[in-house]
Parts: sequence; C-alpha cells; structure tokens
Amino acid sequence: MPEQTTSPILVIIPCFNESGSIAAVVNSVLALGSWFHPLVVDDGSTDNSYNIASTLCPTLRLCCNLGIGGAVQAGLRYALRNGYRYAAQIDGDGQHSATELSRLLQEMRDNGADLVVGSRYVQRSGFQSTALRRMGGQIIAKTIGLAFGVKVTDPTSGFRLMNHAAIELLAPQYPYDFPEPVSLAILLRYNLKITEVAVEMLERRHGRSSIHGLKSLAYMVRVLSFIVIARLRRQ
Amino acid sequence: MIEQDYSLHILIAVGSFAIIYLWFLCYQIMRERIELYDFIVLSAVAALPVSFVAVPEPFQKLSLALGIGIPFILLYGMLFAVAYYFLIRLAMLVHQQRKMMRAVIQEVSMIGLSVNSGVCVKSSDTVKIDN
Repeated sequence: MPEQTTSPILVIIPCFNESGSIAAVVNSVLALGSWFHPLVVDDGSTDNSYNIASTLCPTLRLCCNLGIGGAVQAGLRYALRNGYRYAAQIDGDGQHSATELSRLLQEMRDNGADLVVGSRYVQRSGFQSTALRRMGGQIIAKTIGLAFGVKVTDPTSGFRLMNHAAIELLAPQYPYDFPEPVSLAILLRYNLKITEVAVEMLERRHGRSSIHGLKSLAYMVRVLSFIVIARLRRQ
Repeated sequence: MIEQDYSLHILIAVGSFAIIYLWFLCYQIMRERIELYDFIVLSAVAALPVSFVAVPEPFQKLSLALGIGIPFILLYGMLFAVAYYFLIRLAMLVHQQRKMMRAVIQEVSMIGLSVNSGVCVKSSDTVKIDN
C-alpha cells in the first residue's frame, strides 16, 4: 500500500437518491480499515440518502444537483484541503466492490501510476453492461488511444484511485459533463500515467442510469468532442 | 453594384426606431439591468442602420471594395456580427457564472460539514475559477 502508515485514503462516494444502497457501500468501505476514510457527497438527493450517510461518515451535502462531475469535484476539493495524498472514487449505487480497492492500490504501488482505473473489460467477468454501452465505451477508448497513444479498456468506469498529482490537477478543473472519460483525457494531456486493473462490477442495486435512449448519442458526441479538445488544448 | 439613395422618409423611419430603441436601452441601464459595455454593443443595432441611411456613400464604397453587390447585405452582415459577438459574450458569461455557482455550492457544503461535525476545512482558501 503506498505510504500506508502516513497517508490515509479518502474514498469519495458520490450519491444521488441512493438511500437503498448507500449504507451498505459506506459500511463496506469502513470495513476495509481505518486507513480508508469514506466521504459521501450527497448530490442534492431528495430521498433519505443524506440522513443515512451522515450517521455513518462525513457527508457533504450539495444544496442542488450538480451531476456526478460536480459531486466528485467537491470530494477532490475536500481531499486537497485536508491533505489527502490519495483519493478513490466508488459509486454510491453499490456497483463497485470496495474490497477491490486493494487491487487498485497494489497497481499504483507496482507501476507508479497517477490514476488507476478499475476496469470491467480487462478480464470480462462480473456485470458487463449492455452491448450498446460496451460498443460506446470501445469507441471512446479507441479515440483516447488514437489521441494519446495509450490503451484503455474501460474509460467510463467510475471506480478509480488517484494520487496527489492527479488530485491537484483535477480538483480545480474536474469536468462536469461525462467526467470519467474526459478526466482521463485531461490527465493524459498533462502526461500523467494511467493504468487499469481488472475488477468485477455488480449490477446496480437501486436506481437507473441517467444515460439512456437518445441521451446516449448526445453523450458520445460530446465525450468525443471533449477528448479532441483536451488533446488540442495547451498544457 | 446597386446605388441606393435613401429618402427623408426612410431616414425618419430608421431614426425613429433608433430613438425608441436607445431610449429603451437607456431605461434599462438606468434601472441597472444592463452594463454600460452591453449598452455600447447593443446600441450598434441602432447606430448602424442610421449611419447606413444618413451617410450611405462610405458604405456603398465599402460594399464595392468587398465585392458585395447589394449594400444592404453589408448592413445585415454587420448587424449579425454584432448580434453574434453579443451572443458569444453571453455564452462565456453564463459558463463562467455556472462554474462560480458550482464552486460556491461545493464550498457551502464543506462549510456545512465543518459546522456540523467539526471536520477542519481551511476557510482561508480561495476558490480558483479557471476561465
């Protein structure tokens, strides 16, 4: 574990109306040990999510819904303010298994990566999403590969671990729209190292993905545009 | 090249529009609903047609130089340029305001957490908004 004795890891859990799963997610992080500090960012939930989460761990309550990007950025700002050297992100819907954070940490230690992505497509086990989503993910991955010359398999994964360099870079400019693939492009533009490690993802226990129907097409167009812009912009 | 002479009739019509439009803008600026810079940009919408009708020769010469057969096209082009400049400026302002609003919401949430649970948040830090 990197600098385990001196650097606790902030586990950012963005959450929007996840009252059915948030307690289990927080408890799974707490069960990892005292070096893992869960931080729930309640993104303007209208259900009981905040009340449940705030009894278990520190919880930021955003007064209105900023989207996943705004919620994660709040967590990154919190990490920066409070001197965390490492920050992980896992979804509040229970899709990610917190116990697999140790694999991300191991990968960061072994390969000196600035950001490690938990990928469901390295080994293709566990929940694999729909064929259309996988195809979309592959198009985004290929675009990132063409733009930056790196291989990623799961650019839309919200299960990731970042070090201080990545936190410092992303906290002030974390993308609001479709943040996972776009943030990868930003990090690569600044020559930070990204690696992936195989993880299993579960089907979401509650709620529904916000990207469906025609939104998926708009999502693709915007993400690909953002990646190209990130490649072209000055450092 | 189509030579265009404008009658007094047209000058009065365009001038009347300009006066009413500028009066409306002045009214808005007096009520602090728009900024002085916006007033200057928006007043071009009145100033351009008035100039075009009052002193047509320079515009006709400019049309000729640019290879535009009908001087009115030049006027519309100028008006569109003003409108799009204003729209782009508005889009930039909206984007900036959204970023600031999000940063404020995030800061408020951190202050709220520190108040509720005593978790330390450095209040002296300032939020940097990238342009």
